[in-house]
Amino acid sequence: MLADSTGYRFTTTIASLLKNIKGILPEGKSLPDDSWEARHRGILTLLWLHVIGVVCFGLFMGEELGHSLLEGSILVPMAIAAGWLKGHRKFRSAMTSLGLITASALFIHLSGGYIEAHFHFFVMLAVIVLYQDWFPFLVAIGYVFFHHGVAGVIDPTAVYNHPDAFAHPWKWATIHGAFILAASVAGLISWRVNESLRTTIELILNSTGEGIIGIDLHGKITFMNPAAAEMTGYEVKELMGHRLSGLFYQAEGTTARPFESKAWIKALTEKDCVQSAIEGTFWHKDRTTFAAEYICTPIRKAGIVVGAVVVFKNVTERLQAQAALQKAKEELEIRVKERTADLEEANMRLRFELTERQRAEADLAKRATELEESRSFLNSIIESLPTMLFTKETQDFRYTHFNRAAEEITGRSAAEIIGKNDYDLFSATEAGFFTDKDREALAEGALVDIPEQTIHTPHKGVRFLHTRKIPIMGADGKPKYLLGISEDITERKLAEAALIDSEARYRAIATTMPGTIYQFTSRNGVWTVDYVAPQVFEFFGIDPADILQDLNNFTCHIHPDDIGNFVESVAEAVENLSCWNFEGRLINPTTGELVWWQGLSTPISTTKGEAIFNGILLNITERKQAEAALRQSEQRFRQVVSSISDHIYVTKLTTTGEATNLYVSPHIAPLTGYPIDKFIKDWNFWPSTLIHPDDKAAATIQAKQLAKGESSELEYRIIRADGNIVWVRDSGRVERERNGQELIIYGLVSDITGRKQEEMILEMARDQALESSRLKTELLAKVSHELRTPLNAILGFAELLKLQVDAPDAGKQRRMTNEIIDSAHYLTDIVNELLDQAQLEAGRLVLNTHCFTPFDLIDGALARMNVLARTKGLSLISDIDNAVPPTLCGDMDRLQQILVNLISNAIKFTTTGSVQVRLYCPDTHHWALQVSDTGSGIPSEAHSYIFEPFRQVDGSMTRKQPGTGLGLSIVKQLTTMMDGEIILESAIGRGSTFTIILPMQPTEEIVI
Amino acid sequence: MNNPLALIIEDDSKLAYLFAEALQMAEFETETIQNGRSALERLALMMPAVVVLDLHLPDLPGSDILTYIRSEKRLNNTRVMLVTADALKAEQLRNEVDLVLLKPVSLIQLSTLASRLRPLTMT
Repeated sequence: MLADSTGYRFTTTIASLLKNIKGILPEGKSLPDDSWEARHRGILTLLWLHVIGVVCFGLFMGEELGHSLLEGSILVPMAIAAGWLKGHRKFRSAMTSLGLITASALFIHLSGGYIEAHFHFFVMLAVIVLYQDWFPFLVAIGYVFFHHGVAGVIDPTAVYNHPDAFAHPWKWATIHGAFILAASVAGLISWRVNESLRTTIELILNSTGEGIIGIDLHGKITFMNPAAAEMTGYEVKELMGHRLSGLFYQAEGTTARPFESKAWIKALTEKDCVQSAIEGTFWHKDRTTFAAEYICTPIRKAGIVVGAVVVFKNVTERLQAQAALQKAKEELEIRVKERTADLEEANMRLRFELTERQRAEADLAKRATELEESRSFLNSIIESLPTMLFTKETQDFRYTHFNRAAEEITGRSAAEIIGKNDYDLFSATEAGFFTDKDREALAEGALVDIPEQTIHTPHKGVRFLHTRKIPIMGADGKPKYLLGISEDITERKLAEAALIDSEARYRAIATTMPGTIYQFTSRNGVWTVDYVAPQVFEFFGIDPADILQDLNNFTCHIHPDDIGNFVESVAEAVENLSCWNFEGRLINPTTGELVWWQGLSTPISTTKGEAIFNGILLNITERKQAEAALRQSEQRFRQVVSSISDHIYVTKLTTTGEATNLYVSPHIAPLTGYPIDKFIKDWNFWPSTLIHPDDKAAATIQAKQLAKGESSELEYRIIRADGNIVWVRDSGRVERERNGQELIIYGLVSDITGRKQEEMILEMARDQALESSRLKTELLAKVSHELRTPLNAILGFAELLKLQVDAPDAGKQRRMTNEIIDSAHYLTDIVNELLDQAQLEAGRLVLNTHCFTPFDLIDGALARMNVLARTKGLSLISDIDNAVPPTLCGDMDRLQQILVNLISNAIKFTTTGSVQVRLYCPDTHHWALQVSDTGSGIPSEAHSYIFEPFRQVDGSMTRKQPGTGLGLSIVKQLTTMMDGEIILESAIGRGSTFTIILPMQPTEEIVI
Repeated sequence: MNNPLALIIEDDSKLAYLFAEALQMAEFETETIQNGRSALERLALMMPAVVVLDLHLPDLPGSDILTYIRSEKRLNNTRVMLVTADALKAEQLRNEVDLVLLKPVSLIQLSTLASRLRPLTMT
């Protein structure tokens, strides 16, 4: 029992002791993450230094490098594991703890158990305490216990190097354990103090309702209490390290950016005191905002600013309360104002009533005087009224009042009338009538209206009156007076009579007019006929009575093709009250004839919404027929104009010289190439633009003649739009109009280009005929001359010979005979040339083709020319080229004629030098005859005509060189016949070369 | 050499020769010239009794020579015989010359006619 109770007591004592000890011991894991990280970094660095330290120590102790490195490398895995950032705090701190204690063990091992090395354990333990965590601490303690308590006891040599330790390992273990314990207690105490201090501060910070946020110099959040977290809606972790300025709500239009920059924080610190509270708006996590007051205080560490503390106070509710208060205040103010206004209004109304009452009293006094005034005013009105007013008493109907108008109408004064009755004043008939009406009014007790009554007045004769009689009741309800109001309607009556007269006259006019007068009225689309003149029957065969009954009796006769237009035009006139003018046809029901009619009216509207058509219906059949005839005639005229190809114009010319085109026929467009508009718009376009400049003078003369009234005709040229020239004949006939004030020119413009061209062709032909006739005459003269000259020589010498017969002189006779023969030959040549020319012209010359040798050709020609050349002292040279074939084909006689002509020509025009004849082949298909001389040469302008018949270079040569002038012409024509070509090369003073190039004719093809 | 002088202006040498023969038969002293320009030069120096003139000359028309003769007072007594083949021209000039002969001309005829034109004083 005792033991039990003692055990129990002991147990409870132990339990309470443990509880107390637990209360004394620190809790652990109290470091915030950032502090823990900072410390861990330092301790880890220390571990890495130990890796190096162990290696160095090993070398120092004389160990080999490999062994030292191996020893140092033992720590490396632990250091790496401790540096693993993702690892748990507990794991990483345990690793450093293990590493550092192991380092202590390695030092002991390497030193061979130096006692001093054991101090390293105690120091490391103090370092591990910095984690303020039980796990690494207990790992270290456990390690030391194992090292000293287990390993040291079992194998002291491995742990100590002291002989006493080898002998008493337990003693040494206890001593070392005591040191460990002491070091642990000291470390735990400082840990515990540190922890409790931090707990207190945290408690304070966590329990304050104001948000506290610490920022560094970059404005980044380094601390935040739960109140601040709650205010912003973020977790503390979420905001750590973020910029506080990110939470600041930048209101639009403001520039303040607190917490933003280092400068801002710096500036804050320069204010040496705590800042006064500033209001600001901040973001909540849910993107709403809240208003807060904040105070910034710099954090100084050793006098240097390292950051700032910002203390927030959520003032949203306060601001809301203030706003509510402000609103309540405003409402109160409004209510006060309203009340004040009410009071003022009531006050004003009171003042107004007072004034009104005063005014009413004044008015009352004024009205009494006014009443008097108005009574006299009323009397004066009654007196001055143009209407006759009178009153009678109801007993004997004696007059009691008689106004001035009554005096005027009746011609009697009021004094004269008052007190008398009608019998005293008017004839018995009239008075009886008046009195009867008086009685009637009294009996009826109401107004009696007498539209017309006559009275005889002494000075105005008979007057017509419109009278109303009204009984005026007395206070007893019985008639007291009879009031009479009479209006003089005499003038109106006379006017009405005049109107009736005028209407009668009007009807007389209406019935005698050449049209039918009518009045139709449209009421809401229903037509009534007020009046239609009786002529409607005469003109349209419709009974006026039928029309009066129903307008449809007229409209039903309108031609079916026109009824639509009729209805439309009437509707339009009614709607717009515009002038109505309609032309259409209707069928005369009496005669069955088609009648053209015209309806005219200017509709008027009445206040009753009626449209009244007053107007006239006209029979326009004759006019229409005339118009149709005119149109037809005009159409015919236009057809006539368009069917003739000439252009017709009608121009008006005033005495002032103004001209206008009245008509221009459409043919002007094809004639001139310009659109017709140009001529219609501008009369001057024709004379100014179209007439050929060379013909303008003549055209001006014609225009002047026309302006004088003379008809005129002129042929001239016009220039078309396309630039072509057209010959025209413009004939104008003039008529005077408007008493000679205007000239009307009727003009016809015909295109005579064709005729003009024919004329020109004829003229040219005539000129050509004349020229050819002249040439023929010249030719005849020339031929005659050329024939007569040798003939004269023959005749002359023959006569001389005859004279010589008697006295014979053989030499002279022979010479004369030779002269005769020469001349005869010459004559024969000329005749032959003429015949050849004639045959060539007639196309009757035939070539006689056969083969010959080139030599025969040249020799034959030269034989005939040698004498002539010799006589002129010229050398005649011939040359046949080697390439020329031995046989050529052609008409040799004609070829010789060509050669002779060319050679004789050359000799004729050469005075000194030579004439060369050459035969050669320019190519394999052609052969050529060439005659060159050293003569005077032929001017280049003559080259073109030298081959024409009867032409020589100029007239002067005719005589120097006799001949027909046919030689070269014949050469040319013969060459052409032979399909050859003649080329002339010549210049003045350099001689001439004629080359005839002929096609080579194959010898085998020639049929001989 | 008392015979009167006849100037023969003719470009055809044969005819010039024949005309000279004919004039000599009519007892004239003769001189033949074959172009117009030489003829004018010659006429400036002499006063022929008769000029036998051809109209178609190589350098200038015979009519020019006729005009010269008729304009020159010195040559008032010179008789002009027109001997030409150009009937048309000859007809035009008929009134300005003393005699017109159309080629071909007979020598005898020419000689006879020329003798009639001999100056009277000389006979």
